[in-house]
Amino acid sequence: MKYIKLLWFDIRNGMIYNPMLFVIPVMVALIACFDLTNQISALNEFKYFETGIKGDFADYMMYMYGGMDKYVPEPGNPFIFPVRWTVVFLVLPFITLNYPYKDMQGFGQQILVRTRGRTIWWLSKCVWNILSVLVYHCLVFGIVALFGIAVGGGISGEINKDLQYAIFQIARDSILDNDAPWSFVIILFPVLVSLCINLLQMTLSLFIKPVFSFFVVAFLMISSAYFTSPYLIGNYAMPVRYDMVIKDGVSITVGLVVSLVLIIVAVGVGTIRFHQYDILNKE
Amino acid sequence: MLWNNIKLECKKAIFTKLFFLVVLIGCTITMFSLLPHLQSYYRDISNLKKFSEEFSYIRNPMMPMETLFNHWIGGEATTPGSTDYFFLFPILVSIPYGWSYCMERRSGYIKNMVIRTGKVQYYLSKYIALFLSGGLAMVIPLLFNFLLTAMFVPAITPDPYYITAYGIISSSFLSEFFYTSPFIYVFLYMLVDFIYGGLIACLCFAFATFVKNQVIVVLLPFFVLLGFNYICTSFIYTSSIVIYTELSPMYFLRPVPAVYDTNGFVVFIGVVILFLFTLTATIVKEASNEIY
Repeated sequence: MKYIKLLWFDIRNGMIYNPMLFVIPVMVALIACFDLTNQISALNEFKYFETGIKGDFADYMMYMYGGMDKYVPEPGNPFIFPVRWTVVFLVLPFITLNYPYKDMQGFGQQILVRTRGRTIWWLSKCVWNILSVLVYHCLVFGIVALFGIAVGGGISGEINKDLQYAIFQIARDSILDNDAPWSFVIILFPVLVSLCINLLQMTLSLFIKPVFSFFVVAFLMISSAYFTSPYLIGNYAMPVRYDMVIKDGVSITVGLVVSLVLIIVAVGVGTIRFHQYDILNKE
Repeated sequence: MLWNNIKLECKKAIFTKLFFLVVLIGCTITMFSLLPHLQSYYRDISNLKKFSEEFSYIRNPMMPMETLFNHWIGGEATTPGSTDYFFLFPILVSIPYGWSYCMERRSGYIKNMVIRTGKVQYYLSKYIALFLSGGLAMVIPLLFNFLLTAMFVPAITPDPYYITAYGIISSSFLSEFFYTSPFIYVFLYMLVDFIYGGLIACLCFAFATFVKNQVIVVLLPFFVLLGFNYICTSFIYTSSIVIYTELSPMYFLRPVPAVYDTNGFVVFIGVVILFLFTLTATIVKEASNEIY
């Protein structure tokens, strides 16, 4: 009962009273949707495809979460960071960065003393974080679905491979030969990675200042975009780099295992750390 | 009195652990540009040596292709160091002192200061200190990288014959200096970076007038620039066959153009907009508000 009350307090103060969590994903999704619509119109105008196409819900989702093709550093090929992907994945850590820290110094401090249990306080923050991530991505999914219906593209869940290869400008020699359709799961998987990144950031905030923990996350994400490596978790948030999409891509199974392990580690380490954390010495 | 105030604020902004930590982080990031470039430089030199040993002489060693001006962090856009630095700089310039106004308002320090110095002096000195701390946090790592690279790579004046090795064409911003007086080019670009670094740090001060939380205030300039870049990419750079003018500071503050070239007008307008916004939000508007 105590835990439920605590969680409800976090949901109310950290989610319901946080308008950024609801406004920003809507804006980000709408901008991306209009952008892809323009690009599809341009491709149709140039008769890039044999028959004119309309983007499906899954195409719009892939456009938002796709990331970028493998980067090959060489003279004449400057690195251009995937701004859309970066916005989608960095805005959320920014929105969720402050609440646990602020709560620890404000009213939450009184609650923490009265509940007499640091573990449940921390676990409540973890669940709040997970719910925030789900709300953010559900809003993106919802807006994109509505947009898909509005432009007449449908919500079948089928990803148009040719369109994605054209939009992400995948190198010809990286394209897989098989005609098997891409599973819609590849669009859901980045949500899990996003969850992992957010929990890692929250745990990291117990060791370093929140601004620096965000800096570490941003550094990790931009490095992931630069290097196609299974050791950089951001790669698992880029469906365009999965092994079912391109040759020598990252394995989705490894990504699943790594993400789950990191989520457990983040929650576990955070619980241990929070037991020794001095909540009174902060500004 | 104003001078004393400025000195005090500058001391609080620059001679702090946080400022040194940020500069250290910036310098460390620039090492990720230096190391791959030194590796490629020595590989090219060794290839040239092998080639000359095999054929007894080389008609054209193409020496201007390997110059300091395309090996320092500002002269290339392909290494992780360059990528990370020019992506994360809005956070780096804001960390040293961007939080101060929020903190001082919350703690009541501002009330004590304003009684002794007056509102305009207090806000002006804080603005100047923020500007200097942001500008220095931006430029010191660049200067560090430039000097360190100069220890290994010769500063041969770039030759327009090898234009593909530099990526700076006639329409690029300040390109006339790059091929004639490259040191002036580097100096001018560092000046532009200094001004932008300072003004972006001052954005924190402007945002702090309507946002109370210091964590949000420090990170907001980064998201403003990222959002602007997102909007430019989505709605302005829409055609792949049109050559646009670079509008995003995340790209045009890099001395070598990564996507499109910028021009002096865009750089100047950016400075004017940032300056007017930060000045209006802080010294003009906030100084006329009640602080008690």
